[in-house]
Amino acid sequence: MSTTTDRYIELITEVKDTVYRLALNLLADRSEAEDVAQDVYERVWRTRDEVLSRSYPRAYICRMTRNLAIDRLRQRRDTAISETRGMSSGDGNSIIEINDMAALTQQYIAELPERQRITIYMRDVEGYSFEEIAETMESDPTTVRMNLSRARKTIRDRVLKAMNYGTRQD
Amino acid sequence: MERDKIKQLIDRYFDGETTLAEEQQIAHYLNSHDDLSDEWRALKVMLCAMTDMRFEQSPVEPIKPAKPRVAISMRLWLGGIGGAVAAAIIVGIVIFGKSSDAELAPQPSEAGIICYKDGVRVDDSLVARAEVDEILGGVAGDLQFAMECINNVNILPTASR
Repeated sequence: MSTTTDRYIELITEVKDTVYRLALNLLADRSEAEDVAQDVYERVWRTRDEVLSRSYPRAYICRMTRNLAIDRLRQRRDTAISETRGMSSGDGNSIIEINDMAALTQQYIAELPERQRITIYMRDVEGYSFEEIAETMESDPTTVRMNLSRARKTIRDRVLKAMNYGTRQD
Repeated sequence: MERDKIKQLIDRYFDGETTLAEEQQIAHYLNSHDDLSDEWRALKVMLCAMTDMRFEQSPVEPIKPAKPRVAISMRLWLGGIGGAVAAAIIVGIVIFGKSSDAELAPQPSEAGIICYKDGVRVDDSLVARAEVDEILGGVAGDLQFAMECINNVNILPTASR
């Protein structure tokens, strides 16, 4: 078996769950996330030589995932997102129905602007470097850090608010 | 002391300036302490939520090369090549062995080669040579064909849908 094939298997094994999770994070729909993951896997297979020649191959695959997911979001014009999530942002009555703070935090992440959402997801969930995230976002590490800072502070403030709200309810 | 250091790290975390190792330090501290301020408890919740998100696995299997198929094909081709080479060696030994004997102990008849075709001895040198040429030519052709096939082996994807 060729070295390229070995490297391909190693890479795809490493990123396959990340691809699915990233797609799921962006689309909030398991079925659509599976479709995007399938598309990404096929594209990576077809273009494996090019993917493997990249400086950050897994970040390149994440970019591919992001672009395909965004295409799908555009196709459905975001109308399904709020239906799937079943909750609008800033709705205090909905917040108190969610007891699991972790689930609530995930909800807040899902409601971040797209670039912040991908950035905090890739850093805090997947543990990617700033350079890799920059490759995915077609941006630069400084902008990535800025988006990450905004995202983290937004989530913190919302979690704090929810915690205080929960305390007051008790 | 440790608390001051963690506070600095957390400040840097929210500025997007921490390394992955420092972020692990923060998580470890928060997970091993209960006396946390609201802000630190909020961060602990955030980190827990993001840890939970790591456990989602893809239900879709990526395309991978069909290793067993390639391995079997390779074994078949190598076996075929081995068989052809072995046949050529046997024929060569018969032919050149007899030829050497003839040199060592010259026969009254014209020195030449013989072969056995379908178990029947063929004394006519020309016929024997033609037989040898044909066999060796076939082996060479098979070998070339086999090598081409190996070079062109397509590693086919096993699409999962």
